[in-house]
Amino acid sequence: MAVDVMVPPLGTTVDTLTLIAWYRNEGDTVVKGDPLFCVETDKATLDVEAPGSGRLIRISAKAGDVVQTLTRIAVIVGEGETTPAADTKLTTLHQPAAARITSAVAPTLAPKVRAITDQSRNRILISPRAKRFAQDRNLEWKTLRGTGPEGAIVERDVRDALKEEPAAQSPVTLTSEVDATELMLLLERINHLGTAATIDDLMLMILAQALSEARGTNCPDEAYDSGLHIGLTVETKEDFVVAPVLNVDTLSLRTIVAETARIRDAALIGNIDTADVNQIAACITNLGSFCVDTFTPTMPVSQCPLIGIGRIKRHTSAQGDSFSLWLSLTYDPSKIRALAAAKLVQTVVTTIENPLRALL
Amino acid sequence: MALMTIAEALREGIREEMRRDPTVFCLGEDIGISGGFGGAFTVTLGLSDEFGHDRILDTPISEIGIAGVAIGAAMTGMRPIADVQYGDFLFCMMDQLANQAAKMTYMSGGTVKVPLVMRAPVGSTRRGSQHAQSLEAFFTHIPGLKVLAPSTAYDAKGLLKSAVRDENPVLIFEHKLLYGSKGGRSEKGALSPIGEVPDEDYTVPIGKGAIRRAGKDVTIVGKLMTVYRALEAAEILAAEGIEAEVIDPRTLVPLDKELILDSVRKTGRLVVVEEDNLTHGWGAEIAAIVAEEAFFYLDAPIKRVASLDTPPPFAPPMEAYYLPSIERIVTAVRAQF
Amino acid sequence: MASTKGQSACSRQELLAFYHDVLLIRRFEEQCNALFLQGKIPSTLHLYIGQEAVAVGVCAALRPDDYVLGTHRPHGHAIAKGVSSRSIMAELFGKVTGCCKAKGGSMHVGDMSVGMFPAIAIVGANAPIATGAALSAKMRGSGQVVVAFFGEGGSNEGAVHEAMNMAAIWQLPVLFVCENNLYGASTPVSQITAIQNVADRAAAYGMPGVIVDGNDVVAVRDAARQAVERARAGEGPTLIECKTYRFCGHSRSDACGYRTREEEAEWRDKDPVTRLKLALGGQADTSNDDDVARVEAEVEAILEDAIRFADESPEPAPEDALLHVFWEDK
Repeated sequence: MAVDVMVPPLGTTVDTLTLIAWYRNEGDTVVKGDPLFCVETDKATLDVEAPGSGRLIRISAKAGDVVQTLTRIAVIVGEGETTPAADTKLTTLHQPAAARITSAVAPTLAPKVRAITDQSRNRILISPRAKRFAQDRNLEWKTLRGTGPEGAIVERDVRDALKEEPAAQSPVTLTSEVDATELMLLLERINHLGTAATIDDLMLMILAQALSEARGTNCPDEAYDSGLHIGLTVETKEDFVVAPVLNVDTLSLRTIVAETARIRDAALIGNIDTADVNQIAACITNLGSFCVDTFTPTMPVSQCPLIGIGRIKRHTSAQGDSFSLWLSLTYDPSKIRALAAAKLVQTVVTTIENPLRALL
Repeated sequence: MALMTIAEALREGIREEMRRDPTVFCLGEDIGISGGFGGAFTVTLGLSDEFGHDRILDTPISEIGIAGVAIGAAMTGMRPIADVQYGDFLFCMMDQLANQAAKMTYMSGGTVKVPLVMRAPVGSTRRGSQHAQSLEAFFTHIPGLKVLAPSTAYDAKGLLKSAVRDENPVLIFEHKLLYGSKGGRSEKGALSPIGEVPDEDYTVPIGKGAIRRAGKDVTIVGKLMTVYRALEAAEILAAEGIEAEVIDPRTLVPLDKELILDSVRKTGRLVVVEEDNLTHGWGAEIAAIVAEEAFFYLDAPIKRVASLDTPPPFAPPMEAYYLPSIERIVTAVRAQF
Repeated sequence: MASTKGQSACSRQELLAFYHDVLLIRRFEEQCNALFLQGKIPSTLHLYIGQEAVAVGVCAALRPDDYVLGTHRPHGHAIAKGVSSRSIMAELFGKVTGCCKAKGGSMHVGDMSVGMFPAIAIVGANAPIATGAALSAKMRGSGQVVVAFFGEGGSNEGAVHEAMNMAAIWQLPVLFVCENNLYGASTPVSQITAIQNVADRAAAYGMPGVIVDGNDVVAVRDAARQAVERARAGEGPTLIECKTYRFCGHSRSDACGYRTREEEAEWRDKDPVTRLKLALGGQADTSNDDDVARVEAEVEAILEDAIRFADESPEPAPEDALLHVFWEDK
């Protein structure tokens, strides 16, 4: 079981820390409880213990970096394990394998230091009132960020969280049977020109187009901040993993083809970089090659629309062959409006049925 | 209805009780001497004109004697009101209060009562260490004593009358800067809260606190002078969007716990402000009660604001530093958000 | 300052009454000692043996509604003032039928209904309270007199000084009765007081000071009677010093290593019980007189009854500890 290495919430009012040093390197074997890295707050420097045992991989912050609390800066994977099954969005709904701080060196005797010591006892500070309030409402409070004294979670933090999260709603899935004849024709023609494109490559292009058109309606705007990235579900030896394809809207089809090929190969040897998976604006999962016709995609994160593509069926008739596939879109209704989701389906379906739109 | 200072309200309360009940009398140092002060803070001024020197009884400077005489008189049918010139002098009579007055009913198996009232001024007012201490906490720790701390003229009269009619030893602490004493006995820096006091007979029940200012964000509990400091702090905090509820328990023993607990259950925050020094103090007791009985309503650590753990200093800058200032109250409240 | 001897005419009836009270205290204390050794009395005891004539003599001069304030050695004061032996014994046993409902114990026995304050075990602290009760009597015009007993040790407490001064300036009806038994817990009076007689201090307060043989019940009664008359007449307080001796230790744990056996024997010769018995025509060690024998039988009957009563009385419920912190209207 992979364990995220998180930047600990230090109970201070600041929510960034400076990473002073890693005590272990990428690929090292670590044992739970070993000092793993050192961070500095405005009050103290302290060591953070390894939250699990295994191999340390995907270190994403280096000494001197200012890191956000409660973000992941590395992963520890077990023996034989390559990458974590899924990644995490860390501001909400995610419960970090809380890092343990082993020592606190306080340059001053400020009261805040005591809060840090509390953290060293692996405690998330929450006021009794806030805890009772959260428990009465079945809210998982351990992931909330405290804004109270000593960084404790106080009642207002719970109230804010309840406002943000209108009672967790079940994901909704929209499905559509799509005429894929034109898409298959296009694919055949392109590959005739000497590429090795797949349906997924075309879908990436189509989805990027659709998302650009629908910008701001399908997922939080900030999902686009660093470019339009789309997740692609690929196989590893044991499971699936979502890998981000970056800046899809700026890539040529040829580049997309090359990139997806690289990702697939990397995934198979367990060398995939999922660091940017939190930034994706949508995700494509294609289970057609597994003979699956329709399904409800759930990976990897809930804040963006998840597109599922089923098996392509050939229909033979006197007029010639035609193709169809089932497309599904799963979304979290608390994050995405139903109309936006429906319009996205409409756009994607229309573009699949007339793929030249993707070239416009 | 008349407008009165606390000193005047106390005086009228004593006057009315002495008229009502011939067993009520006052004793103390310099309280009835013709041409004198009427006690250090004018509370009994002029009363000997009406009641004579037998009932406004000037005593030697003998604090043990004053307390003991009050106890003996109280146990045998009288209702003495003893005037302690300065609260600090209570220490001189500690045995009589702590061992005699407080324990008499108990160790007699409830067969003896000690209906005495003792009034003592407290508060640091540029008199140095031995005429300045706020020492309420010492006496709230003695089972068998009732302890009152009126901060308004209305309460001063109403609580005094309740105390005189109570069957137990009752200690009334009064703050020097709240008396509104006049003439040569007026105090520098006094607040002189003048309040409306009914002419007709009324009492303020012992054991009932008062909400001096309603608020939803933080509960500030103060007594005597610190009620006023808390109210001023509340104004500053209101400008920052923090609505403080200021509670004046009025009676320290018995304590209106529910008033405080209800408020904290609403606000989730508690700051206790007192002029006693901090450690092992009254504020600690209030904090402990709330921690024990309203823990799951707390949204921030309880804060105490009190005088320093030093004897009261003399020089004004040191005295100001020693006392629980408005700024310290505001800071304590801010730290809870 | 005057020194008095028991000179006044004293009827046989009076002497028998004194003998009854003195003997009752003596036998009560002896029984307490035995009961303590049997484990019936859970506290330590400060026994009054040897000083009985003081309490009995003073109380003989009082009215039932006069007040007495005892000390940490109060059984004699309480018996002499009329507190029932039953209720004292039950109190010592820690039973609910005790005069303080088992809240007081040995050092706080009292019963205000017969004028006996709950005894005050802080040395000297009863003196200002007695002054207050006397002030009250004067203000109420009740004609009551108040007695504060204390030892020569207690006479050095500031409280006693303040109390005597206040009683004197206000001419209050109070008797300050110093039972000078020559020792504090163990410290001899000569080490803690520079003057020979505590009564000499009376002059400093402007009140009469009287020295009396504290083992002579009639002498004590006469001195008290004079002081009571003065007090009731509004002439103020009197300090009476009763020279006496504590036959046993300060408390149960005291073997009296600080005084000589010779001194003890000397005082045993002045035993107030024996002196009364001899005065009644009896002999020291037999009850050859019918009246004396009757009194002695009465005393034994009272004690037997008191002990049985105490023994059979129920213990308090533990939670009764919560009662009476404040006055509770019945």
